[in-house]
Amino acid sequence: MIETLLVALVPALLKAAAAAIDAYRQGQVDHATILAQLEQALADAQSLLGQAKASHLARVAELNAVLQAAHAAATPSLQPPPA
Amino acid sequence: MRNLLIALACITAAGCAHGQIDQGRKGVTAAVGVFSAGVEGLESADEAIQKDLIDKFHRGEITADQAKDQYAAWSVKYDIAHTALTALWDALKGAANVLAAADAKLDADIPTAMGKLAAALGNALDALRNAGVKVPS
Repeated sequence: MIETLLVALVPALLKAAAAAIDAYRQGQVDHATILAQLEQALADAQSLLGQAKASHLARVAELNAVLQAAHAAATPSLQPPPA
Repeated sequence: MRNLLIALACITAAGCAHGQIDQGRKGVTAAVGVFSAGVEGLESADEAIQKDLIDKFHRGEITADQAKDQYAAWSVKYDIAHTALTALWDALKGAANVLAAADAKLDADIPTAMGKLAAALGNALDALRNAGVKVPS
């Protein structure tokens, strides 16, 4: 299954990874730098998850606001009796 | 996501001749692909469903209660998929640590890490498909 996904999902990423591996093997990239990049990339991925959740919660609030605004507009307000 | 994959690929590069580490590299590559497509797909679907419900409500095709109920039903699927993607991220982080340890010739339980990653990958794919998010297969 992983083999199938590997081929189908990420050909562009694989190409980039292959180039990066070559560069790494040729000593063009420092090991500590790669480790730091890995930490940063994981942090970025975690941030993406957080952003997605925040966007969803904002959409929930937006939908509720739209529905409430429509409800308020459709509800006639009570007028005080004439003096 | 590109940076994540490249960094993981490089971390495992030194040990690529070793079967386990090569398997690990492939596993994390697939997981990064699904994670990336999953987050993006979930975000797009969420945006489209919310907009569609608001449009239908404005056109009078559904009531406010129906719009609320339908978005609430979608939100349950969204939360399950988001939780599965979070678990996939956890597994990716665990695999990254193990692969880095292997690359540094330290003790590393690659099969266990890869097993966890494969399980998280399967759960994420199931949750995404259940939410109607198209993940390339």
